[in-house]
Amino acid sequence: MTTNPVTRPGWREVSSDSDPDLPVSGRVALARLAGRAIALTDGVTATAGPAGRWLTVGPQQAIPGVLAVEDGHGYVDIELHLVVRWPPQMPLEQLGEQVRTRLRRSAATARLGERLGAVSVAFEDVLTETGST
Amino acid sequence: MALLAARGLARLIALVLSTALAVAGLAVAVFSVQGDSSMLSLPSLASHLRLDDLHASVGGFLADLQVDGPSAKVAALAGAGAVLLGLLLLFGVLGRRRERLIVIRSDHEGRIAARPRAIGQAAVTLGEQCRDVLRAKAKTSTRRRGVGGRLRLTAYHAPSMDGADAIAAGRARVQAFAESFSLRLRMRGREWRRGARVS
Repeated sequence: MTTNPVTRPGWREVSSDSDPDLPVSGRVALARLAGRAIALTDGVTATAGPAGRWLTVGPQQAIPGVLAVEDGHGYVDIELHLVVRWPPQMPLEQLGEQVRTRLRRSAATARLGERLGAVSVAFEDVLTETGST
Repeated sequence: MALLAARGLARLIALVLSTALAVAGLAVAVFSVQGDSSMLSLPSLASHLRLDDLHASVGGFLADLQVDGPSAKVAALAGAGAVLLGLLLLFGVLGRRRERLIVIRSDHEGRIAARPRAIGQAAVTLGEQCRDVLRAKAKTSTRRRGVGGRLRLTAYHAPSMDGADAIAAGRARVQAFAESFSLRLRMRGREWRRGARVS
């Protein structure tokens, strides 16, 4: 008998590594692109928040720091929740804009640009040299 | 502020009511052990609570309520007050406090913003990195509309040190930080006293 649910028959462990062949909705695909855009940007990291509220759950994958909400018209609004390292390499407005631009470009490449709605960036915490604030 | 007061009142009343309900339930359970007019029976409980006496004393008032008169007006006012109290309690239970974000930029494509509490804590950390500043205290406020806000930083310095120097040193550290979040910085210096409360 086991108390660990992921070892029971039929249960699968949710990992951050997704299976690229697994079909996902446009909402989750955009959330994945947003997660990659954050990872490619220097000076910021994604945060799911103290209560783990800011994440998007897809098949076999949870994307922390990204909230993707689809409206009735099929547009997906994205919220990016970030921790910024201080001092940043560029002004924060520019840093936020860089993440947004990166996401819009990758969405256009993936032919999901028309579905992408508003992209908001929230700097939730600041990581200074002496540690997290 | 009103929401906090309403939430506190709702929690207090919920605690009192749930305690009273638990005690009443326990009493009914205990007095259901026996039947008829035994000591632990419901008729015995009614007798202990003097429900007959209560009916005799409030029966006249209840009769007055059924007809127009001063008692009916008082009852109507009390009812209206109860409705208002109920609405206040609902507000306290269901109301959500949303922390406003400091907006750096907002357009039709979305918003770039930052959380005030984190910014305040980071400003304190940066301010306290100055040798002249022993302690720092920050307060951030956001604009209701538009971008930016205000960051007020208090720098506590040693009594032997000039306050202007501490302010200048703190400002040099925090100014760029505040500007990056579109915040207007206001600094003031205070002499640090042993045992003084900073936050």
